[in-house]
Amino acid sequence: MTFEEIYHTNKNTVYNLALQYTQNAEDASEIVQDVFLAVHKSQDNFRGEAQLTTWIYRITINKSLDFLKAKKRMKRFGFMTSLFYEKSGEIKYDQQHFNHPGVQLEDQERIARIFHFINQLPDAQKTALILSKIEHKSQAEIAGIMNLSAKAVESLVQRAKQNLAKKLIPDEG
Amino acid sequence: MKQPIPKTDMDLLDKIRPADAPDFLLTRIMQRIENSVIEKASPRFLWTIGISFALIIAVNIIAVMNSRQPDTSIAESMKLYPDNNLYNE
Repeated sequence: MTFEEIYHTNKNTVYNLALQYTQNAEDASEIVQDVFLAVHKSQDNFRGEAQLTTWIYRITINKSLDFLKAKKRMKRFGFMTSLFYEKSGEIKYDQQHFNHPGVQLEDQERIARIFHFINQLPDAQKTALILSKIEHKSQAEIAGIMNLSAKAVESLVQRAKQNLAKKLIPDEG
Repeated sequence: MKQPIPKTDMDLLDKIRPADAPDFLLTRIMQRIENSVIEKASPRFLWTIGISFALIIAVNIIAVMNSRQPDTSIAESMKLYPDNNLYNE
């Protein structure tokens, strides 16, 4: 399989998965580029297509989580610089811009709110929830991607759903 | 005051549709791959540099070895009398 074939087979999978983590088209595009650069470097190490697809999923998840961590660091740095240069007018990194091309305009506000809470979940729960609830992967597939047992995946998804439900239910009183 | 959120809100995630990756991405990826190849020095270039350094070091070692003279004083090498006493001449 040539690199271009690998790209055309997996580009939408990678792009959509990155979108579920970042909820931003530009950020997802950056991640897609990073993922396929890594694929280009290591494509010779993978013989079977199934193994390659699982690996592409893993690398997309890792790159997305790394991207979000880097963004968080930049946000913190932006806050620190704003303390010292109050009137500098520099771009702040705390602007959460929801730009998900897979979300219809009328659902945008409510789905952005759900993603706001999904983003607060621990990484493993977030990944399990995204793969199961949004990407509609089977438990066995998620187990393969996350390198966990099916039982562990089931438990992660369950906990993620419970945590999310708690956050989605508004405070009484 | 917060609006009550229906329990079915989580089901809204089912309404997310798959999006198509932008067409320009492959061009950008290929560009980045080409750039990384250019940045990486070719093995031939690295071998040439390595061999050049080895040659320079070898030539220097040979030059130092050849420059070692036997331990003779300047007076002896010029066949001069090495004593300051002129009376017993």
